[in-house]
Amino acid sequence: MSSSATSAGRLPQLSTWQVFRAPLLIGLVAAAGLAFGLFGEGLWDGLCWLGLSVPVLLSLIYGTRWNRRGKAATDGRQADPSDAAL
Amino acid sequence: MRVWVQVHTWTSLISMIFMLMLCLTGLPLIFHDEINHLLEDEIAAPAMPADTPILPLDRLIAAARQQLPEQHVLFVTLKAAEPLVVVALSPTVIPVPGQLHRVTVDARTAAVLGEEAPHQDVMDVILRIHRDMFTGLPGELFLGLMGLVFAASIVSGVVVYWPFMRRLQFGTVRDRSVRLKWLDLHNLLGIVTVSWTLAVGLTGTINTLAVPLSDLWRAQTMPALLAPYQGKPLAEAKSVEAAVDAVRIAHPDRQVASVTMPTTTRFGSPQHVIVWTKGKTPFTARMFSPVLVDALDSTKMVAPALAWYLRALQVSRPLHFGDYGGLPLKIIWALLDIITIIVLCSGLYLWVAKRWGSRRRTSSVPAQAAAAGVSP
Repeated sequence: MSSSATSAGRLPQLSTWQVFRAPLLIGLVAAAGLAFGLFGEGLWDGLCWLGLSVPVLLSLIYGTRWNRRGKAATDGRQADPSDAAL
Repeated sequence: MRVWVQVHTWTSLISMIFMLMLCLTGLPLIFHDEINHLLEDEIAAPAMPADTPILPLDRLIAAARQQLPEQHVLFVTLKAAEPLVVVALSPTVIPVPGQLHRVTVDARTAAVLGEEAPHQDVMDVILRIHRDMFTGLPGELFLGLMGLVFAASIVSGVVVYWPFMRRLQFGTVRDRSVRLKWLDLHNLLGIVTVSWTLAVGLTGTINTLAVPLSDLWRAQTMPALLAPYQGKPLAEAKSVEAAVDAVRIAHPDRQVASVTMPTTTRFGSPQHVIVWTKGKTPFTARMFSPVLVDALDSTKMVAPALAWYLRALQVSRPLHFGDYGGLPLKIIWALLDIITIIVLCSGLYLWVAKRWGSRRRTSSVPAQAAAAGVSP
């Protein structure tokens, strides 16, 4: 009846590292993309497109998911463990 | 943390209207090449055998001058992709916006292919709004300052991301209320685009310093170079072709991009033909270096080292324009620009909703704090 993690209705507090590791990784990938494009054509351009499309794709994926999940998220703890993939 | 929230709120509100303007005008500017091409503003070289010889530059300049005999030749641009030369002429020594004539000459026949009449089309207007809001250097520098305020708003936004997200997994968008949904979207879209918005914002600020930085470099470089010529009148270039040839021989690894004729104005030298060269790799092709050739004696030339701040300016241009990775990069640039517009608008909405909400529910402050998702 009472699982300690869910009874509070929210996740236990995350550390600074846990909060920022995904944004940091995304930021580094995007920054690398910005830089790679300057180095040359061909492969470098490809890496540039790849790196910079990461923030765009994540915006689309996470930004539209609340729509589809609908009623699944009712209490304070919407994020299922698979969200932690990044 | 309260201070950081205040910093984020106020830096955002101050820069908001200008950033929205810059994002909206920047969107079409990303594709200005494609749009100009569609509007068929560009003059193309007629088809001729690839090995058709090129005429000396002096003849091409003379052909353009014949078109507008009363005017001053200010500079000559050598197109890299086509055998075309564009000669810029102005009725005044210091060019007045909208008065500069650009005469396109076929480098193989010296035929004048057309004159880009001094005009302002839609893209020019958008560019002027984006660059200085039609207020010249003060407006440009002001927008540069707004870029710094925007950068402060991004950094403080990253700091306040933590209290909002410390009990949520990355990417969570709650939909209990409209406000909560937009709060989470603002946080999500804001945090994933930080690298890009910081890069484009700060390089934009650097770009606004182009005029003062090049003036600084001239003040540091030119007096020593002009000292031997003290008291001499404005020189008339003896031969542009000879100057360009001399530079090509002295710097075989570089390409000649344009030539600035002797001038008393701030963009040239009164005693030199300035030959602007660029590298041949995609990156060095963005790094322009001037070679100053004595206007009367093309054997005398100096290639002053370009200061670090002008290099920084040259690197920040592609990083601001997004024009260094073909059309796919431009599309990504546009999408990131649209995401930034969403972040700006949602931020404004959240501020309005919070103020309106707190005025309506002054009695239930705890409920409001919970709805905002911030635990003190």
